[in-house]
Amino acid sequence: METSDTMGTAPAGAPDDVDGAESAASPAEARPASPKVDRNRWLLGGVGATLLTLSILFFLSTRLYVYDRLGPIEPASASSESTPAEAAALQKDIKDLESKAKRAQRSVAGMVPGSVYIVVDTAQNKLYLKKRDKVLHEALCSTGSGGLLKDPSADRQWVFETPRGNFRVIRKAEDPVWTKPDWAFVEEGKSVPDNWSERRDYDTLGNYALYLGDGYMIHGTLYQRYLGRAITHGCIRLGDEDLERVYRAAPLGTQVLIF
Amino acid sequence: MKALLLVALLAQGEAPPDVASARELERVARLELEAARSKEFYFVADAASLSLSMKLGGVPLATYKLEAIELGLPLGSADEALPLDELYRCLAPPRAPVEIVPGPPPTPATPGKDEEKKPPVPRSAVLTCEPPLAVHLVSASRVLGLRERLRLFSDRKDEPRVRLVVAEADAERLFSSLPAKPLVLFSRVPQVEPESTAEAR
Repeated sequence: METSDTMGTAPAGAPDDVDGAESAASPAEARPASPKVDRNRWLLGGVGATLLTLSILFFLSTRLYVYDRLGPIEPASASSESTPAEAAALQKDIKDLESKAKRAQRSVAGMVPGSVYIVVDTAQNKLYLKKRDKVLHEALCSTGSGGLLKDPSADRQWVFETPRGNFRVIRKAEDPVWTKPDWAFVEEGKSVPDNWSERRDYDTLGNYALYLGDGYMIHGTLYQRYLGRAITHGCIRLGDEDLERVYRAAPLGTQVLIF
Repeated sequence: MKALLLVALLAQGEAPPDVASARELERVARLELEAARSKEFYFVADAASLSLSMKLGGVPLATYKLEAIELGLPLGSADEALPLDELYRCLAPPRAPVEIVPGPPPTPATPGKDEEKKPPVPRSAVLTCEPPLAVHLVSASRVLGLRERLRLFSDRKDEPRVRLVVAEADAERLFSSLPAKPLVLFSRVPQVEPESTAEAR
C-alpha cells in the first residue's frame, strides 16, 4: 500500500512527466525535457486554453439576450380547408370574443368621471379641469420641487414632492390661513417656535384653498412668475384667476388625479 | 360558400374576421379592466400604434410615442417567444432628490438669478416586474454607456426583458412622471379609445 510520505518524490521507474518531478531535482541534476514532456505540456496547455475559452463562451452565452421587435398581430388568412360549419363556429367565437371585449371596454370607459374632475401633470406643471373627455380649463401651475431638506438639529428630513395618485377635494376654504409646519422654519434656518400663533400665515395661500389631505392642497401663490416651474413643497400652486375658476367649478368630493 | 362569406364581408367594408385579433382584443380589454380597477397607475404599451399610454382608474393621463418595442430573451432560453399576456406589477427605481441647503430665501425671488434646482431627470429606467420581466424604458437618443451596459450584463437573472424605446420628444415627460409601482400590459391590436376617455390635451 502506498503511504503518504511517498507522495513528494518520484518513485523509481515513474514516468518523467509527473508534476514536481523536475522541480524536486537540483539545478546540477537538471536535464533537458524530453520531446514527450514537451508534447504533453503543449497538449495540456491546449486543453486548458480550450476549456478556458469554452468557459468564457458559456459565461457570455448565459449573459446575452436576443432581442426581437414586437409588432401588431398579423391577421391570419382564412383557411381554405374549413367547412361552412367550421366557418360558422369560428364566426360565433369571434363574435363572443368581440362582445366580451366591448363589455370590458365599456366598463373602463364608464370609470371616467362624468362630473368635473381635476388632472395635474407634474412633469409639465399643468392643471386641467375636465369633464369626461372635455378639457374645460387648462392652467399653468407649480408642483413639488422634489428637494430634500434635512433638519440639522434633529434626525428628520422632508422630501418636497407632490404626491401622485387619485385624491379628492376634502375641504375648501376662502382666505385660507396657513399654519406653517416645522419644515417652513427649518428651511429658512430659523428655530421652530413653541407658540402656535407664530406659525400662522395669512398671505401665502392666496384667496382660496382646496384641501386634498395630509397637508397637501391646491392654493394661490405670491410668486406668480414662477408658475410652470416645479418649486413648491408638494402643494399645487395656481395663479389668482385660475384658482378662482377651479375653486368655483370643483365642489367637495371632486376627484383630483395627479401624475 | 366560404368565398360567398368573404365577398359578403368585403362588401360590408370590413376585413375578414380574425380569431387571433379578436382573442387579443378581448385579452387586452380584460387586463385593462383589471388594471383600471386597481388603485395603481398603469401603462398600456401598444405595439400596433407604437404608443405608451399612462392611465389611472381608467382615465387616460398621458400618451408617449414609442419608436420600438423589443422583446429580449436570454440566449439559449427554452422559450421561443414571450407571450406578454399578463398584467405585470412593476417597481420603478426611486429618484434621487436634490438636497436643499437651509437658509433665508432670496427675497424678492428673481427669475434667472434664483434658478430652479430640479432633481436630475434620468434618461432610462428599468422596471422590475412580477411575473418576472424587466421593462427597460430608454430614450431614443440615449446611448448606453459602458457602465450601464456592464450593469445590464451583470444584472441578468434569466428573466425576459422588454425594451421600450421612447421618442426623444416625450422622454423627459415620461421619466419625470414615472410612477413608483405601475402596472404594465402589452397590446398587439390597435387600441380604440372610447369617446368618453380621450386624454388630456
